[in-house]
Amino acid sequence: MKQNTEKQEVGKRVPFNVPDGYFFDLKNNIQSHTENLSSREGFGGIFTSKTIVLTFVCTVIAVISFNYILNPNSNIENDFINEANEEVILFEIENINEEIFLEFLPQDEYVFSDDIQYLIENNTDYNMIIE
Amino acid sequence: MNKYTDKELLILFKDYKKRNYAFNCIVNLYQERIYWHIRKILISHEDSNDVTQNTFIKVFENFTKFKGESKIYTWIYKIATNESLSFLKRKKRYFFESIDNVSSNLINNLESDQYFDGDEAEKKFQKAILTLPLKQRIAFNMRYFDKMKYEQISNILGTSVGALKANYHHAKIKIEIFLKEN
Repeated sequence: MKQNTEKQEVGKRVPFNVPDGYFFDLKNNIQSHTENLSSREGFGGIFTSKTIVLTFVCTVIAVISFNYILNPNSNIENDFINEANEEVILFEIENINEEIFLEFLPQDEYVFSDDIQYLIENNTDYNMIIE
Repeated sequence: MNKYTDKELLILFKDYKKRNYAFNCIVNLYQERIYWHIRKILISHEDSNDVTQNTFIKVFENFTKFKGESKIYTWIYKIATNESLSFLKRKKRYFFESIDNVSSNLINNLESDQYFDGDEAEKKFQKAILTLPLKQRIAFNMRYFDKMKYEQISNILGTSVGALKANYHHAKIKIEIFLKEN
């Protein structure tokens, strides 16, 4: 009877083994992993290097995007606009109606003779003015 | 000897200052049993070592969520089983390879494992067990080697008691056939 019981125990034995002291090492390894996890928990855990880098990158992207939204025109575009404005002004000056041009001249700089002044005031055809 | 009940361990663990102490108690109590359960699934000592550590790390991370509906041991056993299954899934050589195929390939590990100290009969017996479908093998190991009750196995594997009894019966027949043919 006793032999049969022993045979049954052997039959149910798991035929694997482990290195010497394995379970002591296993416990230490598990504890060191979980102690690292513990120290990372709580408020201090927020400030890991990963979160700092991520926060910094997001901040930089946000600042650049915000700046772009507020100042949509670039320097290049400003130059283009200025150049276009100058061209318009030049065109206007070249094609300006003489009548309008004279109106805007400072009065002191251009003094007409009395005769010409008379003709101007009375809307006379300017071709009649002999230069 | 376990000084604390499951409920007491949970209360200790929830106290931030006593958490490590509570967890050390759990590791001391269950690490060997959990290791051997995993070892019977994965065969290799190195793989079993990795999965055991991962299991206890998961226990640590999730213990505050443990509701106490089952025993702590059953809960840890479940995590260990899932971790072992996940490990075997990751070992698939290609997408459509079945996990049973991966499991049966562990026979090769058995041949070369330096930490196998059985005789030829025991080696043959282990090979026979490895030919079983994976879940059937796990259930067989839990019943045959760990002497667990069908109700416990049912909680861990999520299979009904009736199905487990049928599975165990079929597993014994397959093993007998394998041993006779080899």
